[in-house]
Amino acid sequence: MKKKSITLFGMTLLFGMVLLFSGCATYSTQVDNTSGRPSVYVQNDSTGPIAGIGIESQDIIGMTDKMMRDMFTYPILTNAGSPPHVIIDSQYFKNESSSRINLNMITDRLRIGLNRNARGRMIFVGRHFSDMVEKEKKLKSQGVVGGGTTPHASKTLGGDYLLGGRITSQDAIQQSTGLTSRSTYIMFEMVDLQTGQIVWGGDYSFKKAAADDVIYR
Amino acid sequence: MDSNRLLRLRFVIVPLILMCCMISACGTSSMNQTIKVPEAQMKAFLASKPEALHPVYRQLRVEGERNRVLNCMHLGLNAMQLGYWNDAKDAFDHALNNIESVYADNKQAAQSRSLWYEEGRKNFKGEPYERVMAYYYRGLIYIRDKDFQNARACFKAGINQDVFAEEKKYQADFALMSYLGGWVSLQLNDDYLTKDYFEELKKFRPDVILPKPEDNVLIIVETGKAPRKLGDGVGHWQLKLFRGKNFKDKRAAVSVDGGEKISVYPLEDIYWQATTRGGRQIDHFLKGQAIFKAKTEMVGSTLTDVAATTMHASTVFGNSSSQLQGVGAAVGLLGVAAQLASYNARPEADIRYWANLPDSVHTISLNLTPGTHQLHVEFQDEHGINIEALNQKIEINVPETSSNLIWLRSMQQIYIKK
Repeated sequence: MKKKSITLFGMTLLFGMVLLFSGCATYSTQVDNTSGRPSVYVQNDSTGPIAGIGIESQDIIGMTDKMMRDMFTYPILTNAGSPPHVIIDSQYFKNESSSRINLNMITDRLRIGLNRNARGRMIFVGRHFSDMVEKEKKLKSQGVVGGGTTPHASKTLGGDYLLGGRITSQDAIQQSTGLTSRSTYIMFEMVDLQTGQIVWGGDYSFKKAAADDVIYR
Repeated sequence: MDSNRLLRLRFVIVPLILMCCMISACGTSSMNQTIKVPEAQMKAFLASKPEALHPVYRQLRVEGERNRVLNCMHLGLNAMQLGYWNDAKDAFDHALNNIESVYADNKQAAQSRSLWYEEGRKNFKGEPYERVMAYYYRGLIYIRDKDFQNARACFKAGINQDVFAEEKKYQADFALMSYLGGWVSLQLNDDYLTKDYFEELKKFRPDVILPKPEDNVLIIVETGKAPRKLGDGVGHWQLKLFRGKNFKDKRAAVSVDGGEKISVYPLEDIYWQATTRGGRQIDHFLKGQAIFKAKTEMVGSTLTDVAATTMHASTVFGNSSSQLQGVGAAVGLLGVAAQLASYNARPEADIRYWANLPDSVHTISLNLTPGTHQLHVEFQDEHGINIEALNQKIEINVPETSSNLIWLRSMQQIYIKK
């Protein structure tokens, strides 16, 4: 009889200990990221560890690459008798979407990529540097500084074509599931600055959908 | 130790162990866990920050990811009020980046759904009205920087945060965002978008006076104090919102250069926006947890009573008393286990809130001649009686070519955690 009671007591004790430890385990998790995380390089042409439904780096890279490839297939731009002067400036890009974005990220990447690959077939006008160019020309004309290697170029380059564009988006949210989707459409158009004719157009669109954890809905 | 002594002590040791279980489980709350940042590291972090913002910057470091968005909201609004616009911009960018990140398969989120963790354990993203207001303030900073396109992106994204209301009529009805979306579209000469926003606005505020293309000053006046969140019901599972307290300012009026007094249109009631959201999906989890807590408490209490009675009764059963005591102990153990589960269940709703938000936002769009003007802002109570102590006189400069945003609050509300 005593042996039975002792066994019963032992089991009670054991069970109690299990509960004790499980009780402790419930709150053992400390604040995450106590020691921080070291900096790591992350691929910018694929979805990173932090993602939403807006425009992200991989979208900018994807769209600018596509636009560049497309533009090089247009003879009017790449096989003209004399290389056309092209202006690409964020001032002529419009963001009408619900994504906050620095438009320079798009226009800078396009201009740099096109300029590098055009190899003289297109000439890009740095209109965003015009203040600096005019200031330098003034110094040259006043004789304050030398003429540089092209002393006879009296006028700043004018543009033959200007690249403009617009970003628009349409959001949809399913209240019951919290699923949010954003369809983003980005269009680019190259306009002839003499005639207003649109000589090239390209677009890029994507749709992303995601739902937050239920605790955030 | 001989077995008889051990048996005698069991009635003391077993409850003692179980009490330890309960105390250890309940004693540590995750709510106030902080990161220990070495003082030297903290000083280096704060060195480049404005001194008036140090308390919130300090809190930002110490409270880590869980409260990062909330602290950024407080920091951003503190910085705006004190004129530290770059700090405000960074803080709201950070808050919005977190709000826009999708929290799927997130560890803290999963824990918050669990029976054993309070909702407040999750990383704070705010209720929809708080998220909308983060977009609103970031949008105002974009307007100040003359980046109207990104300002519009903020107002548009803010409207999208307001679609989770249970009742359809309250979905995406944040008139303030439609007004500002229309106003920035007007500045950008985007006629079709201006029309869209203002048509949407008129659905919610048919009496609002729309900004005109020739207007060059937008005055935004904020009054009152933030809606408060409190937990209600068994285990405080139910999130309840209450209007902010200790303020009388409900209305505003302006006059320019001593001219006619014009009422500023009460465009948005933040408390109303906070309360028309209706039930949240997480409420179903929390309610279930609260029921579990109440029921296990009741079952546990009943079982321990039965166990005590069995133990006492066992003494009259002679040879069978030990076996009955064993049964009694087992039932008692189950009872305490149930109570333990009840104590451990955490149905509390998350009641963290953005404490320095206003109660209402009022707007007026004016056409003033370029140059310097004296703006007098009068704050009034709900009966229209002037609250002189709050009145403000400021000098505004209207530029020749672009529009000017004047953002005012009835009182400075610098948030410092108590």
